[in-house]
Amino acid sequence: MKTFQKDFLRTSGQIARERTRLTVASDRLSCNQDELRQLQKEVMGVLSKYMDLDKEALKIRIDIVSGAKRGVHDVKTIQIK
Amino acid sequence: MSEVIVVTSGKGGVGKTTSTANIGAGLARLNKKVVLVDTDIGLRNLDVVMGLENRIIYNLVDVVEGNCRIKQALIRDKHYPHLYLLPSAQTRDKSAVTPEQMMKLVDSLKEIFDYVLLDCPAGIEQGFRNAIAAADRAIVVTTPEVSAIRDADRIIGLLEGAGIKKIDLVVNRIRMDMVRRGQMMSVEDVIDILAVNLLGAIPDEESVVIAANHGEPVIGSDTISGQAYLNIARRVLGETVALTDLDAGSSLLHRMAALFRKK
Repeated sequence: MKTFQKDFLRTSGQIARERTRLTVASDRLSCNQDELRQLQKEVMGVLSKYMDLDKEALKIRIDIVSGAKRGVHDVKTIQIK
Repeated sequence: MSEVIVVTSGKGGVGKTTSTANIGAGLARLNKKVVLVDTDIGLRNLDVVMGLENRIIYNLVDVVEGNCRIKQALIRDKHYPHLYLLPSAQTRDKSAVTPEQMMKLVDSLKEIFDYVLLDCPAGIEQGFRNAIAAADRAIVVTTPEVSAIRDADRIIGLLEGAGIKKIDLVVNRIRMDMVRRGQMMSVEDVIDILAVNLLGAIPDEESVVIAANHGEPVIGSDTISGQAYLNIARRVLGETVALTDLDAGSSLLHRMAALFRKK
């Protein structure tokens, strides 16, 4: 019910943007979207344990180094809000 | 120095073939010798979009199998004398050609043309592998939809994995009125998610459909999409061109309203 109300206030463009972000991020990490949401939540939880966070204004960027490819480190950047 | 560009998207129906035809026509208009290669074996379309379907005698598979010389299979465009089409075969399938054969074919085309544009089939199977094997750079076409952007992201990953260094994006079928109302993702949203260089955006206009109905490029007509495609062709050549104003057709009132909404 809560998500429905949230969706109701947003335009379909904003919903599409969030869905695309989430889908692309979970594709890149090859994990499902629930896991990704959980990851976001836990990262936020860990950070807020140690620092005072403004959760609304916060943007976290996670760089995942997936290993060396053709001698170059392939870094994937995933934006997590 | 000729350049080989693959036009690809992952998802079908986003405008790969239309974009190939129009970017090709744009490059020809800018006095480059261009060949468009339809690599979609079994589902050929580029000939129809260009209005050349009645002139096909030999096709890509005939050239690869040695049934004809390469120049016998090339079809000159109706409008641009520098623009040629190498049509695909309709009665064969993707396994008729290997990536190695494709590279050999493209090598001989490079001797004749400044630009070789490869119209890639949808999907990530052999047709895609064949098309990207010979490419120096890629143009990824997407639309502002969740499904198309997701597939574009996957394709970009595969292109990077295949060692293609230069990957540019074309965002097709943008409807500025819907973006203004917040009912469609904007070009900026798409770029933000995919993190690749933007080559240009094409508005969703009737003129593109009408031109395709006639089998003619939208380039050269007095339309926003025609102008946008020509600017993309200029950017392919390395020129710096300001982004086309896709809003040009809308009223001043709409644009003022959009300005206020941004605040």
